Amino acid sequence: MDKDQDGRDREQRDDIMAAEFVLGVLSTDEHATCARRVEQDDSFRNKVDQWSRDLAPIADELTPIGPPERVRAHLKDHLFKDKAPASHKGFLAQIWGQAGLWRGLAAVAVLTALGLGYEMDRRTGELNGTVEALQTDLTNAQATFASLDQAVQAARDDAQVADATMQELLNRTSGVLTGTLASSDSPVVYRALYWSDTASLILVGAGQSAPVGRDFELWLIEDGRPPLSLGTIPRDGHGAFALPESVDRTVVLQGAFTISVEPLGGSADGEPSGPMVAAGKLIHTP
Amino acid sequence: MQNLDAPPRSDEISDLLDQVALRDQTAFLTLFDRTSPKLFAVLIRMLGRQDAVDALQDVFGTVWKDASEFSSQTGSGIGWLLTLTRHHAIGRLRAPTPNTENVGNRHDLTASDLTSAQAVAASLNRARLDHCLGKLDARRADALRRAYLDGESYADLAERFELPPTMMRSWLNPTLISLRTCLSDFEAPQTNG
Repeated sequence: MDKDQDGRDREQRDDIMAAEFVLGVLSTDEHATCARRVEQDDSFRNKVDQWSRDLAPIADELTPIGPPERVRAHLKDHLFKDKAPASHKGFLAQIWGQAGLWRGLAAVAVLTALGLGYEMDRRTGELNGTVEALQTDLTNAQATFASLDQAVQAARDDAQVADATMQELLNRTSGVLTGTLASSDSPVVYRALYWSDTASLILVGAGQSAPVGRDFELWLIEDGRPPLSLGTIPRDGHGAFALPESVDRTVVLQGAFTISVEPLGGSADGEPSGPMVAAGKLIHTP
Repeated sequence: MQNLDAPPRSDEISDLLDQVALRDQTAFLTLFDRTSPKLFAVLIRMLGRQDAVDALQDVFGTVWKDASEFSSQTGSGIGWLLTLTRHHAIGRLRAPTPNTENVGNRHDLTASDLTSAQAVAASLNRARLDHCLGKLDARRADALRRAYLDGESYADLAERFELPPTMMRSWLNPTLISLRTCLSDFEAPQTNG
């Protein structure tokens, strides 16, 4: 408990000290000590920031006065050449005016006075270099995005062609079952159409074909039965499949269709062996 | 102790300071246009008009060099600038060759270039401080304002209030505690800006 009390007392002393520092009522020595502390002690710095913010409204008592135009012109002429501004005031003014601030700068002010402002310029140069590198990265990233956009647009165009094909087929036929075979894990997308009168299924791909040396194989999955292979999908992405007699409209409606990656010519043992890249169900389209 | 009561960080002055830290010249000139009338008024009050021009130049020179010292996490941009400006002026006041011709310049509140949202935030801050200063002993509140506006040291204040210099500090310290307590009580309403 006493420790808690000690902690609170210390906090309060620090808070008073921070207020005195911001107000500027301390002696020059104490002020310089505080300035160093702001640099090293985040908790103290927070207190100083807080008092700076909280007392700032006192300055609202003064009516703002526009400074002479030459001040702005002078700053523009002198600062942007990246030279440290000349300070012709004494050391004391520097302690208060530069070191007096935050990250205090007691040390830096002295270094600057000694002509070592070079170090700061160098750091600024480094920072500028970093910013430039980031900008280059950004430009590259933008170029990459642009080419990705083009690829996406091409894929969309393909999908539109596929949609149009299917729409045309739909217009000519009624009572077909349709569906989409896809997976969130792969880019493979097929639209599927089923005609019950001919027991045939047509797949229309959106442009993705199986990897080199592999085939896509179409499967019908029925509850409680082993997967039934319906054959491999032609590499041009469009295929017509004649379904066995056992697979009627009801089975097509209840089952699901999947596409897996298989050796050329299809799975050797009649069961899916490679990864499943798309799946979906067919539904009635009025 | 990372503060729950950190001020909102969406004010224009703080954003400009962040950009100036990255050597953005346009941001620097915008910052100058936005804040120099207020800082110039503070400098005139503390130093007199003649020295204020020179001081303002120095202050913005320091801003250009040291904007990266502003902490956008805990600091308020205008608060940081005012403390920088006032400390610079106090440094001049206490330098061996003082040139102090204080010009009174007290007036009504203004909020010249602020957007309306910022003006609301600023006026909340002001109302809060006015309220809390109002609850203090009048003489002590006056001492605090003089220290802020005129850069008076403990020694100056002791003379003005006719107290022994050694007592001035213990006279004012409880005031600072009361002020912080009151300000903390009113912290919440203004942190959702």
